[in-house]
Amino acid sequence: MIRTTEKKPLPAAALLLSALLLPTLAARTMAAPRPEGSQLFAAVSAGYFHPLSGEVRAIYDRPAWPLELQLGWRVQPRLDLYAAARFLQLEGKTILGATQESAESYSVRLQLLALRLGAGFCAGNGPISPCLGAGIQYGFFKEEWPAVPLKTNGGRAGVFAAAGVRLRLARSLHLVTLMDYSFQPGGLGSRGKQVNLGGLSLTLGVRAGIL
Amino acid sequence: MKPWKMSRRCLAPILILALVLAAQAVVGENLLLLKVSPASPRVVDAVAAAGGRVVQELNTCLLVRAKATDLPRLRGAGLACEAVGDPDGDASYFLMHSPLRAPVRGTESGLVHLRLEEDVWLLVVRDPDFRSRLVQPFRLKALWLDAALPAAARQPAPSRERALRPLQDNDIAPLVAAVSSDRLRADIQSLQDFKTRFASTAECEAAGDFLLRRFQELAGVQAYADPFVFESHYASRNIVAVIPGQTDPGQVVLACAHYDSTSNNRYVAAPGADDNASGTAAILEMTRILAGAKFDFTITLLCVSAEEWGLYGSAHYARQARAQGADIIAVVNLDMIAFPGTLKRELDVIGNYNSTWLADRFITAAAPYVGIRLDKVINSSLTWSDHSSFWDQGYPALCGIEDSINPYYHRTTDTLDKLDLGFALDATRGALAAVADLAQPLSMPAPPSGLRARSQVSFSLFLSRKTVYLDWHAAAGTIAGYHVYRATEPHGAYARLTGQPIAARAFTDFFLLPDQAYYYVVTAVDSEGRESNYSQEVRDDQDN
Repeated sequence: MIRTTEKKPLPAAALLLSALLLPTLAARTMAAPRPEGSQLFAAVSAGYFHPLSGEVRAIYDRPAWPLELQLGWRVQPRLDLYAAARFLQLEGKTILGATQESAESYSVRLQLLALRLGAGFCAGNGPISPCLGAGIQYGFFKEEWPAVPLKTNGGRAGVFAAAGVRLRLARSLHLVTLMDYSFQPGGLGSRGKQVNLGGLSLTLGVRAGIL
Repeated sequence: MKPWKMSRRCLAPILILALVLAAQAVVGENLLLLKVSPASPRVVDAVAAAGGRVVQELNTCLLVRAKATDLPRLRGAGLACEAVGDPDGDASYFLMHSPLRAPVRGTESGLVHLRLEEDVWLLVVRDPDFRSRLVQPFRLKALWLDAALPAAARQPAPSRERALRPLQDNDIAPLVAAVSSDRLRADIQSLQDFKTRFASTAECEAAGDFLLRRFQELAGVQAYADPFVFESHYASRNIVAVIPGQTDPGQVVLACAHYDSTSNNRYVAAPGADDNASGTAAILEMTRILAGAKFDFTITLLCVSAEEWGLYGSAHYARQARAQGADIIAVVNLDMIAFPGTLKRELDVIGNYNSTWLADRFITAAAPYVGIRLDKVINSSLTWSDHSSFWDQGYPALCGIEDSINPYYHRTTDTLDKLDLGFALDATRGALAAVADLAQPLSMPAPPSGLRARSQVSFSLFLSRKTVYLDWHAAAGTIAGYHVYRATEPHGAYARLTGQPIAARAFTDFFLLPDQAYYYVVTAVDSEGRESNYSQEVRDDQDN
């Protein structure tokens, strides 16, 4: 079931997990033998985005397709550190304060660019490996009413966590599918409530070793 | 220790503490009337912040009602404070305007006079017969220490002039041409013939009846008497004539003059031809002429009584108007308009800061129709006539008065034969032109009626904008189209939203700030391009 409330235990858990795991894993990495194969990798993925906030869904009711580019460092056979840029554009229509005859609504657009730093962990080196990941992100967002023109923008820090499966296609080429959760605060919205621009994404991508 | 000893030891400090607290409570609640200077909006704010209430504004100082405990805070704010009275005592307080250095005879108790400014005195009165000890010439204003001046009386206020259409001479000229000096003369004579009109006398009541009858004779005029009591046991009446507005009757232009009189033998002979049968006759003449025309706004013509006692009639009317929320956009008070002296032939147009626009508009409207000089005077200390009662309630008000010293002022010799009726004719014409202009003569085409506004706010995540939907009824006659105007404050500076007249009787105003109130009026334009007056104003977020 999709959770539609604004409660956010998951981001806190993801942050806690990152804080606990990363130093331990980094220490183990220093001591462990260097992994075989490519140390650096690049990945690209796309998918479907579902906003968690009901208010976002009420305005931006059309399907949205996030696109993410990733550059990572394989610090251990099972552990990656990576940076990513994730772009998302939502489109919809304004909503009205109260129902009234002959009321107007206007097309609106929201663009979100999230710069991410994360760590990924894959269990096993087989052809199919379950993976977990988490990290922090900084989201730059811009909302505009193209017809007016009217726009506003801002930026806030958020967190994300992902879980999925990695399928090895070749020695340094993987197919990755992930369910990605993000919590991206947007600050105070026009109706006086805090806005969460985050949501759930189901993505499919490829990852290739480059060095 | 024995119990009774402990009780005695405890009792003394408890008693002392109780005495101290009681004394503090008494001192703390003790109210003072303070003279606070200088007078400026900053000082008014400081007074309010310190818990005081301004009861009278003068040019260089304020009279402030405050608790004794507020005094250090006022002084701490850098204000010069001087205690001049005790509002809770049994004394009455008056402002007195007198050019004399010794305006009070004798030194008996019951009357204290303190100089507040040049020519302005504070009288602290315990003797009800104090007037017999005042040296002529003097003018009195009773102070209402229980009241506080509304902010609009003391602070810069948006000019209501911006809600008015430009001067429309074509509509005003025929009205001005109808003013008759013969009628003015006859009315001054009639008022003078009452021998005295000192408020509270039977003759003054008879003069009130005369005025009421004159108003009642006019078609289209709602006339009534408005009784009031002053100084506990005296009674008198204001006489009121109302000419209802056609477009926006809630907005009122008020012209007034006091019909009571006084003199050095006030219960027997106070003809008061200049002061103020002249102003009253002007009001009668204006009522006769204005009743035959149509205006956007309501015109109230008011003959007030007990002015000479201390502005009691106008204070009664103005306080009542404020309590009822009356939207009086302007007050024109006429007091002594028939004795120009020999040299200047000048009518002073006196206003306070809040009434500057009104004085300007009066002069602009009146100047084309008069052969006398009109001189604007902005001076908050000139509180000695009925306009001041309206200042106290935050209404823009002015006083038209001759700029000369009438040697017959407040004397039994203030009679018609001393007056210059040509000057009175000009002053009446000027006042009529100004009042007609302020009330907006209804010219062709007529403004649209039934203007309604509905608003709707559209939200995105971070942005919101308001859309206002307007519609109205068709204006009478052959109309080529309509213009729509918007302002961001009531009766504010209207900006036209339509480049060309629109044929539709509806208009949508998009992408407005959601937290801002907007005010709309529409006009009709006929086939010859003539534009009507503004319609009644509507606010976007009110249920209309």
